[in-house]
Amino acid sequence: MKHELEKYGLLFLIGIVPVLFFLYPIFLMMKMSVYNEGVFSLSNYVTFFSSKTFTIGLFNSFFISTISVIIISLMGLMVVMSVREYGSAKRVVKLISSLPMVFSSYIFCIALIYAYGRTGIITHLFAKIGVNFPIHEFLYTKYGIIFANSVFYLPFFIIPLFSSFEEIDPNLEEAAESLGSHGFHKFRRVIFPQVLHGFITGMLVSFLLIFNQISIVLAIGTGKTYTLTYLLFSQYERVRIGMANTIATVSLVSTFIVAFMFQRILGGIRR
Amino acid sequence: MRNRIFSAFIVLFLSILIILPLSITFLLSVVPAWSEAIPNEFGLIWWKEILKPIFVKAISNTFIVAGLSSICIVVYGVMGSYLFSYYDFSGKDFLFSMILSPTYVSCTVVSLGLIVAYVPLRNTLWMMILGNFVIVSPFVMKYVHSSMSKISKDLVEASYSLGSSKVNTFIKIILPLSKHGILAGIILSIGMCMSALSIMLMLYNAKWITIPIYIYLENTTGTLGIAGVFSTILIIVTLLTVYLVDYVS
Repeated sequence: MKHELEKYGLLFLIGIVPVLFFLYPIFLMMKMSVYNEGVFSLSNYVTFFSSKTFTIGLFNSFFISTISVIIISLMGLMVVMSVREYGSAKRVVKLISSLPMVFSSYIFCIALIYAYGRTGIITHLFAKIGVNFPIHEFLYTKYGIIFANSVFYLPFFIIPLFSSFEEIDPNLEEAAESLGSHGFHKFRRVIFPQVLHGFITGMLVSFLLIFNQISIVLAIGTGKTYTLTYLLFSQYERVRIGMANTIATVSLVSTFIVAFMFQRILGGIRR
Repeated sequence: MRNRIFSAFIVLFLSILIILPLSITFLLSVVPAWSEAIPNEFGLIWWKEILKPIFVKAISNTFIVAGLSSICIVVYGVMGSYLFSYYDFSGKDFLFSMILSPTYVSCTVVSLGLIVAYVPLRNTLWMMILGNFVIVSPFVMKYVHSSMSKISKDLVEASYSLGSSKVNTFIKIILPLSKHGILAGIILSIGMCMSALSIMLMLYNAKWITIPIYIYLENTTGTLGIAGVFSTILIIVTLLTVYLVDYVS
């Protein structure tokens, strides 16, 4: 009896937190998005989907996240494949990879601008030696945001992929080699199917983090390139709380749909 | 041999991509004047500047907000990990996923939700702590849980069968054996709370401006040197965090 009381007491204390501070605020926010001056109305959604600014923001969010994830997954696979057999290189990559986990993406972007921006140190140094460094020409565009995302969120893809590679049975690789499978054939038929789960999980994590981030768009987008989270923040700053709630709801629903789709794909992959 | 060289090239490439921009931030903090991106001189003017009361306040605010948030986060993380590691109940996986779900939702969405739901707390220190708590606690709970769940259940059962109470077993067996995970969680929590901008962006108030908010404001108004100093402080905190988390876990 005492054991049960302790269990349910602790369960209540732990369970009440996400209900009070996550589910309830989100429910309230979604509810307020369909009310206008106390009356049920979908006017905010009509405004959202008929406005060019908001639809471009939605498109940018998906476009930037998708392209960034494609780049990250190709780069990540290359990095992990090339260092997985060398212990010290793997350790260095893992250590560098853990930096962005606790590092502010905003400061990272400021650092990128100081390095590669129009008046950036590296841009100037290259100009002085006669090399036209092209990064500053697209750093402040959506491609610059993709570049920053690809660098900053690469570790979030690499880390689950490393775990998947560590789970591969080395005997299987040896067996494949003894049967004459080498190089790309071995990778495609033996290695990749075994890490596919980690690969897709890494893609999902990176996509959701990029889709929902604001700091990089805030630092590099400079108001010209905007995503859903940026629009949410700007609507909040202009005290348009109804529209901010609507954008937040669209963002949440989009996140849910993407996560659901990835989960379906993951469900179809045998581990 | 060719593979080894390629592997070294990849490490170098990653280092340049991630570490080089960060070292330029440090350069900004020690160069008082620039001429076409070339330093005219080196000096600690910007570092002396942050000894002014307004900047000292930002630094102390950051430590207060991060410290108070981390206390709540770690206590919740340890309690939650204990529940998930030593009790069985229906809906366990669902509750764990629910606790982890703020990780994959935008910080701005979470912030807006908190502002809408808890209007009296708006623009207070408590709202800033609450924001940090909701966003950072899933990360810490994951860390502590992975450490606590590795403790042998037999050891805990043996303690109970020898007449030790649950509290005593928790303090004398579970806490010492999961200390590395808890310590890593504390460091991670302080590091994340100190450098959090996305969470604070909508929740901060003028009395409680923290270093990341100051960097954001300075960057938009233009004093790069001060932003450079604050960024360097955060980089040092981050590097220490990464090193300590790696060391203790």
